[in-house]
Amino acid sequence: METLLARYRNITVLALAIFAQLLLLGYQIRSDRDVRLIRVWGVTAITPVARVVHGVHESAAALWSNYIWLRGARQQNERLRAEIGRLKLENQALRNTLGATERLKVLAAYQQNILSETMVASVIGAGANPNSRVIFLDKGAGSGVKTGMAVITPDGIVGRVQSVFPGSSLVQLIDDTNSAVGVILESSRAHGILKGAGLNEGRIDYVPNEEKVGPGEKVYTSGEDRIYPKGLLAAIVLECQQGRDFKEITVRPAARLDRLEEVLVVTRGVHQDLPDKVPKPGAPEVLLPPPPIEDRDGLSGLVAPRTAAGGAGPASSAPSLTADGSIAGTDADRVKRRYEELGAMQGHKFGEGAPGSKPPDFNLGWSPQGGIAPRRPPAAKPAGSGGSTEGAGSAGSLAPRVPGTNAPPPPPGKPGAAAGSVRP
Amino acid sequence: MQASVKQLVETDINRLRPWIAIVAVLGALLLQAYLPLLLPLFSSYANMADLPLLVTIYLALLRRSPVAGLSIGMGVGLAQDSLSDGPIGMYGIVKTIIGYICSSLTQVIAVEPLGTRVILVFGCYLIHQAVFWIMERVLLGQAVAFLWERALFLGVINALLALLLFRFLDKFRERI
Repeated sequence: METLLARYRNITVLALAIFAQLLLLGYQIRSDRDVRLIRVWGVTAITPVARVVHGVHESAAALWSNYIWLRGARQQNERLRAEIGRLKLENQALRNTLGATERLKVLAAYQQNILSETMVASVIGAGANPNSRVIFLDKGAGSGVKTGMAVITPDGIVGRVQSVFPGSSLVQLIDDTNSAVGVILESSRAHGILKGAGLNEGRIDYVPNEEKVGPGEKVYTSGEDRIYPKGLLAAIVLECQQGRDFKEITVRPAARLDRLEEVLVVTRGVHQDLPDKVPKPGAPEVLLPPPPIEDRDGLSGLVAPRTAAGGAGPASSAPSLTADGSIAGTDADRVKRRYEELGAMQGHKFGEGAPGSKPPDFNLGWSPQGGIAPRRPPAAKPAGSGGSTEGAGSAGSLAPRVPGTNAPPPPPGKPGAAAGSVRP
Repeated sequence: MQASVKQLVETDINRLRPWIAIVAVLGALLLQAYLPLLLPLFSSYANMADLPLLVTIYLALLRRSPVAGLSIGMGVGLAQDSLSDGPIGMYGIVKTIIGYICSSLTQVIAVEPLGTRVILVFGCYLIHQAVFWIMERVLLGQAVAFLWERALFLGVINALLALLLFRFLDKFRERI
């Protein structure tokens, strides 16, 4: 028996081992219960090692991510920095393009608003001499630029073209000490000459001391220099003092001469009014009615029969009536006609009386209240000669005027007639 | 327990230090259980290898005693069972048989040549899968199909992997 066991020892042990495990399996399957003890052993034996392996793995991952992989991160950082720099440059270029577009839009709008013909040019450089105030434009003779042309911006005049080259031109700024511009002051309309003083300043000469000039007053070109068209803003008065013979006026050029980028070259200058002469938008426009005939000189009663008689009087002095009933001609013509009428009424012929003879009474019909007395010959008042003379004779030939106008007082029931029609 | 393991490992002319054997078993179990978690991208490849089986085969081949071999297989199998959610004893029985076979073969053939090792591992893997499949169907009543092609392919993979693993473990062997 002992020999038998020794001979089949291995297979017996195998059978026992398998049998024991089969029993274990059967127990688990039969009772549907787990053998917790074996699992606890297995897990207890494995989890500490697993924890160590997990820690090593985490450390290795951290070492890789935070240290070893930083070599790549450094290169990536450099690449990203380069890309940021490139994007900054690109952003700046786009901003410059946007700014240039906005400025060109302003220039285009200004081009359409002024009468002069202009051409857009870009400033490509400044003078090498710091004392000379000049700039270079990218337009030259090839673009039609000629010497003496004015250079302006929407803010104000810039200078004049001093030299022209095939592809560029040299512009002398108005604050250059050799520059001179004919200008006119906004409020006093006094003329002067704007001379450059360098460093974005200038002065205006030859403005009389009697003129009223204050800081902030705008200075426009007068057009007298035959370079800059009249009516362009040139400078702003900074300071004004009484001088020995003329005022000493210091001004600042209206254009920003130190920040020029795009300018307009005036290829054909057209004078224009100063901006303040143009009616402000929205201001009411007052249209006065034409003065009636009797209001001109109180001689309507004398004039009417002559016109009605078909040239009974001197044809040369016969006033012509316009379509609206007013008398054409100047005040001197009317005075002459009045004297002729007075002379004819009194039988006097001009040029025939001897020296010392009594002249005709030129005050005939004159009243000290400012009107002509109602001394009208009946013959000079034909029927159907017009209703305007009737009212004038009864109320005096010269009715009281509306202050500030030549209009008569308004008739009853028409209060707005004397003030004229107001058209907004 | 340490003394028994020491006695188990040192009874041949080639011995493996006991702590290396324990580390090899724990490492195989650990990698089998946690490698898919550590390397998610290689989880499908990690599941192809059966490292506890390879370690069992190596230790059983190193031991030339069938009892020692089946004991090693049973221990590794039960440990593998304890880390799985299935009933304990499935891998234990299979690896007990594998350990016994491998230890028994060492008394018949020379297992040191590489070709022998490859064929041995390939055959053991197929036996392992076949026995496990039979136990699933018989003991657990699960209608699981046996995938021959997959088993053959993974057998080749594990045989090739065993070459590398055995060569690595051979470096820790000491001749008595």
